[in-house]
Amino acid sequence: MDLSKSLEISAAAMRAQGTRLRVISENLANADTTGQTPDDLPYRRQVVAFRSIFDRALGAETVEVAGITEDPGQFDRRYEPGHPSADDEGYVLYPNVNTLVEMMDMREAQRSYEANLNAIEVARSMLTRTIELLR
Amino acid sequence: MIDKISDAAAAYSNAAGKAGGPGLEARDGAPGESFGGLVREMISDAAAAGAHGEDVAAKAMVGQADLTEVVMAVNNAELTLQTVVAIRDKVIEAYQEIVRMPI
Repeated sequence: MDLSKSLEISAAAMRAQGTRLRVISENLANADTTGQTPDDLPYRRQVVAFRSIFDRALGAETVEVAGITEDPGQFDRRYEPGHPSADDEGYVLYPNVNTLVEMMDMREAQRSYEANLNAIEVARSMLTRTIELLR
Repeated sequence: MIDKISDAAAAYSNAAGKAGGPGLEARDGAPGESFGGLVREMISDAAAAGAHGEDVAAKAMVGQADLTEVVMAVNNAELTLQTVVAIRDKVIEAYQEIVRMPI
């Protein structure tokens, strides 16, 4: 039945958005994680990619996380001579995480999760109302 | 006169025989054809959905299942049970209506 299918599709989307939020949390938590030695590289920002997948058991297109890849963007270079991992010139490499961008991504994940939650609520209430016709 | 009455009785039993084919009496056919079979099938469906919900919830307790999976399984079990209860109520209502019918 299409309504119960839409419940499952929305649930899959919510799972995917949950993974996205996990990766955003990792980025935010490691926004200041530098390397341990002067040669060490700092934390690299992770990005989530989604793809649509045809669920054969369900007979519908659902979404899933295609993969978590590293953002190849340039690291931030700051002058901090006293830092334990500063190089000879006194510069330290900081992660390529922009907290503002992560916050925007977080909001997007939240809104998308809520949209799917609303879809579940609507499908559920439609199903319940149909059953109530029998009463 | 007597002939007329016996004719009428024969015609009546004839008509009753024709109408009495697929009537109200219970049919003991394959499950799913009779009301009992239908209810049995649906209740076993609901029980299976409920058992699956419990199974997923137990898995979530030990960290093997997602929260959304638990919600979906429990939701499914609830909807199935609601359907079964609604159909049972409706059919029993119809039965009582027939029982109360003045003859």
